Amino acid sequence: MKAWLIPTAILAAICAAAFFNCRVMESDADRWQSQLEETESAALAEDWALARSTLSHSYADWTAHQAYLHTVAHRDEVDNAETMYRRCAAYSLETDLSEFRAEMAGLKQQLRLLADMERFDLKNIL
Amino acid sequence: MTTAFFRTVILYFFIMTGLRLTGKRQIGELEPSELVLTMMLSDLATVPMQDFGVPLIFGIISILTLLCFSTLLSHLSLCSVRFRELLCGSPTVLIDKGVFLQSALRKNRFTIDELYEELRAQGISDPSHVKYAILENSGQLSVLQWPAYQPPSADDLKRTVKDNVSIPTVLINDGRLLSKNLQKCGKPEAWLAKELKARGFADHRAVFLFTLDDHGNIFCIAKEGVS
Repeated sequence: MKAWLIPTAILAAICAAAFFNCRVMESDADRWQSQLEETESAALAEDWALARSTLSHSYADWTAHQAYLHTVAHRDEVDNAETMYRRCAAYSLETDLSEFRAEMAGLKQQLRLLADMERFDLKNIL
Repeated sequence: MTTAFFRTVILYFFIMTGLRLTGKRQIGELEPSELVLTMMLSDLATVPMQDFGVPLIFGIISILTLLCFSTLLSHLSLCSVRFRELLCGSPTVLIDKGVFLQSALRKNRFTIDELYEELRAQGISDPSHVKYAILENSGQLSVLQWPAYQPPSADDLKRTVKDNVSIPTVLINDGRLLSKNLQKCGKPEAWLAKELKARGFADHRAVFLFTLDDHGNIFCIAKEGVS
């Protein structure tokens, strides 16, 4: 086998893995955001039981991806989102709508940031 | 991950271009690609090592990318002379047949003082003794003197000399017997035991160094503190 094939194959594999990671992060962030949208709608309708249930479902989904997220994303950003999830859960228990909505907006923004950080674009590279 | 990958690629080529533009003087003993690799690898490895917030994979991706690029570039430079010239540059003659090429000195930012320093470091005090001085890609200066100032060789003196140059093979290293080397020399262990006995050693554990060359010459040092 030609000696240049191995480095070329490794570079291609890194590139493919990097783009695959972009896609995964993007789709995960979209899914979590839609789950949170559902939670927010329930909270706006004062249906706190449904809001807590959908939030808990979203948090379980988020927790299932922790190992992956800690491997590919900056840990500070992942930990920030985790803290926000917990705060949202606490506000949903208190049924404090204004604080809940503010925290929810921050959480959605944080999840978007996680996906944006992995996106392949000039802004990130530069 | 994509950011880490593309940033590594961009910075690798950026530093490489920078080093090629700053000239051979900045390089030292390594070629530009080797220097860039050494510089970047050491720094890249320390980031995920010290900052636990940065995933380990960021460091691994960057290091793997650098190693792969470096291997690919060295293969390309083997295939194409022009590419090699672009990547590593070409040697520059600073003194040609005793003539100082001032434009070449200026281009490489080599002052007369530095040239003298290099010549003195090679044991040459008089620059008129130099026929050629070449600034190599690695940044080192190769100096060739006029034949009149070079020490005469046996061939110059029309004398025949006995070929007694050979590489000694280590058979015992710090009390350890190197059986592979012994086999390579075509000697049985019994021969070694006999040679050791003749030198007053009970076995190989009492020997610090034992070598044998192609001409059968043996060099033996006893190990300290072992009787």
